[in-house]
Amino acid sequence: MIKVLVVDDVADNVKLLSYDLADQGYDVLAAYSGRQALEIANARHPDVILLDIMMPEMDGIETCRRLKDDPELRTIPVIMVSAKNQDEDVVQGLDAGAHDYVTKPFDARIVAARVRAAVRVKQADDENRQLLEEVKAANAELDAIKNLLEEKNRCLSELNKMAYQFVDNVSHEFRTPLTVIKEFASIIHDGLAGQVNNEQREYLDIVGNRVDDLAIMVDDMLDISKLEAGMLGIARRECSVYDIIEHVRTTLDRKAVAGKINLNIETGADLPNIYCDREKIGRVIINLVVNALKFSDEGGEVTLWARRDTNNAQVVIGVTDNGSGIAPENVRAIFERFRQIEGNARASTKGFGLGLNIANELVHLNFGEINVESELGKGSTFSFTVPIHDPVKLIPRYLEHFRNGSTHVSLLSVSIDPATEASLAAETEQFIQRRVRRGDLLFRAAHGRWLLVVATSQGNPDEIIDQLRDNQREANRNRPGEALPDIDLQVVGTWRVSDESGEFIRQFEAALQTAEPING
Amino acid sequence: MAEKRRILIVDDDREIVRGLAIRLRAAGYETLSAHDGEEGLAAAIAEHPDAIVLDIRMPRTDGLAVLAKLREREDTKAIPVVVISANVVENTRAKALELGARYFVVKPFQATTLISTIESVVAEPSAISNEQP
Repeated sequence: MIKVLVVDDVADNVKLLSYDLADQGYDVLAAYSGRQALEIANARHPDVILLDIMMPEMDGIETCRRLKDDPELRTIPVIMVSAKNQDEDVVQGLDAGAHDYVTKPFDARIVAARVRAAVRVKQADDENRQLLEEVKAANAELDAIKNLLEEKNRCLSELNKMAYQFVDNVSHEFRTPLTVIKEFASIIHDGLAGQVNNEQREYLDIVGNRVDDLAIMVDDMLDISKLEAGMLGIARRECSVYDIIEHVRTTLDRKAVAGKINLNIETGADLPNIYCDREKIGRVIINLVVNALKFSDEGGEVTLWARRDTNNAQVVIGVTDNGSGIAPENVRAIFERFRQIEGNARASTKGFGLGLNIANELVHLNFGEINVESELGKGSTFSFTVPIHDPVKLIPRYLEHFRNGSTHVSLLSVSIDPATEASLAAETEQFIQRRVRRGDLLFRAAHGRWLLVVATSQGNPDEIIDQLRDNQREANRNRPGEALPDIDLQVVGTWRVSDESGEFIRQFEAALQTAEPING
Repeated sequence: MAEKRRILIVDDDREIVRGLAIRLRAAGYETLSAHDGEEGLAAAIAEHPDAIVLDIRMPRTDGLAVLAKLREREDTKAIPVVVISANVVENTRAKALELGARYFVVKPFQATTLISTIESVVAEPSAISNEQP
C-alpha cells in the first residue's frame, strides 16, 4: 500500500487531507511539525510527503531542504501545501527540492491526482535508480573480471616463460650427455679405439640412431615451449628446396638404414626457390620422414618428394609411405599434442607425439598448410606447402596468416651505402634478419636495399626502429672486423590490416619496383 | 713434414673434450684443452692455437665472454672460433656469431660435420662467417 505522510501544524487540515487520501486507498501518516515529519519519514519511509509551508519553528521550506539533504530521504517526492498568494513560497519550496505543490483550500481530486503523479514519478525514479545500480554492479563485475583475466594472462605468460626456461635448461642438460654418447659411439664405430666387426658397427649405428631420436624429441619440446612463450624466432628468406633436403638427408638416410626401410628422394628438376626459415622447414621434413619411418615395416618404402604448384605460387613437399595408414576418424587427432593413435601396437615406444603438432605449427609460421591423405593398410601421404620466393604473391598470403594480435602493418625501406661490398651487405642482412620478429617480413629488393614489413598493434613502428638502431650500435662495439655500414630506415607508410591492406599492397609493389636494379 | 695444426678445445665437460681430442688427433691435429672460460682464454693467449672449439655455458667465464675478450686482443682476434653449444636459443646463436664466432654447431653434433667445419676454418682462417656449415 502506498504511504503518504501529511505534515501540517493545524490538526484539522491533517484530518481533512487524511480522509480524502484514505478514501483513495492510501495509507496515511500524520505529522504536526517539521521535526516530527523528519522523524516519521526516517522511521517509515513514506512514498510521498504532503508538506505545509507555513509552520512554526521549522517551516515547510526548511523541512524540505533537510529532507533533500538526507541521502536516505531525498528520493521521496515532496508536494508543498500553500495558501493562495504564497507564490514566492512555492518558488522557494520548488527550489528547495519539492516535486510539486497544491493550494489551499483543497480540491480533493486534484490532491489525489498529484499524489498519484508523484507516486508514478517516484516509482519510475526507483526503477531507474535500481537499473542504474544494476548497471553499475554489472560494470563493476565486468571490471573485476577484466582485471582478473588480465592478471591471469600475466600469470600465464609468466608461467609460459618459466616453462620455457625450464625446458631450455632440460634441453641443455639432455644434450650434453647425448653429445658424449654419440661422440664415443662414433669413435668406436669408426675404429678409432681398435678394430670393430660389422655386427658391432651395426649395433653402434642403432645407438647413434636412438640418440638422434632423443635429440629430435628434445628439439620438439623446446620448440613447443618457445612457441607458447612467444619466443620462437623465425628467419624467413629465399631458400633452395634442394639445399634444405640436402641438409637433412644424412640424418634421414641413417635413420632409414637403421630401420631397414628404403628412403627415396624424388624432387623435380624445376623447383623454384622458396621463401621460408630453412631450419624450421628442415625440421618439418625430418619430423614427417621420422613419423613415416616409425610406422613403416621393415622393407617398407618411404618417399620424400617435392613438386611445384605454379598456380598457387607454392611448392608442395610431401612424404609418402606404404605403412599402416590412419583411420579417417583419427586423421584430425594426429596433429594434436601428445597424441598417439590408440590401438596402434607400436605407439608405446614412439615418443611423446609432439612431432606432427610442431610440424603443423612450423608450417603455419612459414605461411603454408599441412595436409594428410591416408588409407588403413595402404599407407599415408603427409604434405605441406611453402610459398615460392615471390614478394608480390607472398604479401596476400602473409596477410591471410596475419593473426598475431597486431592491427597495423608498416612498410620500411632499409638501405645501406650501395658501394658496400657483397660480403658486408650479406652480414648486414643477417644482422637485420635476426631482429625480425615472427609477424615481420624482410625481402632483399636490390643490392644493399631491403623492404621490411613490420606488424604493430599501435600502428607505430618507432619502437622497432629504435631497437634496431640500438642493436646495431651494440653489435658494432662487439664486432671483431669492419663495422656494419650505417643502416638507413625510412617509413614508407602504415596501414590498418582490416581495411587498408589494398593500399599497403599497392605501396609495397611500388616500393619493390623502384628498388629493382635497372640493369638487372 | 709440416708442423701439425693445433686446436684448442674449451668445454667444461671433460668427456666431450676427451672425445673431441681423440677425433681431432685421428684427423691429424694436435690438441690443447681447457675446462672453463678462464683457462681457455689463458691457453689461447699463451699458445695461439690455429683454431678454438668453444662451449658456451661454462662456469666462471662463459663462452660469449671468452669470444668478446679474444676479440679485444690484437694477438688473438684473428683466431677462428667454432662454437659448440647445447644452447639452441636463437639469441645465443646470434650473439655468438656477432661476437665473431665462425660457426655455431649445435650439440649433439655429427662428428664428421664438426671435423669438416674445423678443417674449413683452419684452411681458410679469414673466411667470412656463416651460420650453417
